[in-house]
Amino acid sequence: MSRFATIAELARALRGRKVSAVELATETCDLLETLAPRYHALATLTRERALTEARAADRALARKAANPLTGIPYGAKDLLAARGAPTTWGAPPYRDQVIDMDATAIAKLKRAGAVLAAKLAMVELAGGGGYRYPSASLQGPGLNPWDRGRWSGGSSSGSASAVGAGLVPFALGSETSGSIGTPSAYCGVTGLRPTYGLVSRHGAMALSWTLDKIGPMARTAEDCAIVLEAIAGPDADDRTASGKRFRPLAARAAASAAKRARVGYAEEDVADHASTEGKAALAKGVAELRNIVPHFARATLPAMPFGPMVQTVYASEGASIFAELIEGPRFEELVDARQKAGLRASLEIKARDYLRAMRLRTTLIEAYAAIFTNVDVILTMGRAATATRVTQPLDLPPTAGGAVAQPTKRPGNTGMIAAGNLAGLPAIFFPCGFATDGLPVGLQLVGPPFSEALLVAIVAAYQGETGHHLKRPRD
Amino acid sequence: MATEERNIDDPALLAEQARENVEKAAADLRSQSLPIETEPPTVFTPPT
Repeated sequence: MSRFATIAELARALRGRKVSAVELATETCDLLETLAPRYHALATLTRERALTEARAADRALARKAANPLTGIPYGAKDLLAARGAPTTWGAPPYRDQVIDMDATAIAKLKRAGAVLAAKLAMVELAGGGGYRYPSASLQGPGLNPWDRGRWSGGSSSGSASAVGAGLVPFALGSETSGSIGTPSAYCGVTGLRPTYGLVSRHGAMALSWTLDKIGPMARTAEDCAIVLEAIAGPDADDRTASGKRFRPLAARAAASAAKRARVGYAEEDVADHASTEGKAALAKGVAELRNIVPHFARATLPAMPFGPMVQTVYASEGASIFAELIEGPRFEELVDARQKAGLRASLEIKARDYLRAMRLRTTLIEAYAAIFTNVDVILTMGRAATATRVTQPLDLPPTAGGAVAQPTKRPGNTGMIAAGNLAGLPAIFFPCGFATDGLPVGLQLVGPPFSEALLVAIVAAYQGETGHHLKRPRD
Repeated sequence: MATEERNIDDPALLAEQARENVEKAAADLRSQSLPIETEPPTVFTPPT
């Protein structure tokens, strides 16, 4: 089997007995052991667990009791607890932490027959303090499979680079504000951020109770849907779980829905804000999507301070969650000095400002609802520029490469990552080509709450007509 | 007169910048007009 096979292709091979789940698990663990360190993608290899789960999958396959994920290996961001393995949250103070339970998302994947092959690297504490360097992780800087001199993005760094490098067919990531989207865009993979509350957060490190979401990162939109169907749904252990389930649309309904969808777009996003290197590929990606989904209309977010809003919310909640760490003896073990300063300062955010940010979220949610009376989804760039250099301070302007255009008076929808997260909306990030520096660029589609089936249908139609998601990096 | 350049990773400078970031964010939020009746979204559910 190609190591870049999709879930659907692997499932066919397993059902056709071309490969056993144990063989696939062994191959995946060997790949991870050999290649994941090149990308600093690995937190813990879970070979023993993988083989146990693979043997169970082989038994299910023999009984013809398999479902689409039976025997499919995967990796999970090391923010999710998994029985029998450490859960480091990417942070040195938690390097020996063992949470002896499976996070609900992992337990659901186990019930669906999937095989956990590895815990994957992440930015320490999901970057809640505002880190300066890609190296802000116990596992080292996440390196990009397309160019190891570039960052994989964060905070789901290992999830994106492991999928992008063909080490696992899918991975679980999490997003508070950008942590699935950014690494998906940088590594050229397809990432799905679910609606807040669609996937249980039980057993996941909390950075922000009102923002955190867990979602799949994979090779295709259809693979993301297979994983989302397994992990979505009610959970008595997470009081924020909506109780809703996810079902992808059937093929004919999906094709029809994609064709009829009304796409909101602001042309200044690419025209005024894309990097010099990425602009042509992003514009081509938009044009390709327009050929498939022709109903475009102008849609723009209201002018609001999305960055300060989201930062105030997650910093306040994160400071409360990590107050004992911040004021305790192990705090200095964190890697990134800027992150430490940010976490300390977050303890001083005033309640009035947190609540003002939260009340502004209500205004934003209402604004989105108004936009979604005119369009079904909103299209914008995944990221405006390609992956930053590994040595580049993330809070300072790039010194070379990946330069982002100067802000103009037309912000368009460039605040979509923060705004979409503040409103709890689902988004899908998908590759749409390569910039002139050879790195992938991608787009994102955002929809109203629980519109994942439409988002998947549109991107599946796009991926059916284009081949950007099929491009592979060299080792 | 030449000014002394500070190391961008100096912890004291980072602490100062982090405090300034919090203050700047607060100022941005407070500058937004907001109807008095606007409530925050809530995830609180009373026990049944």
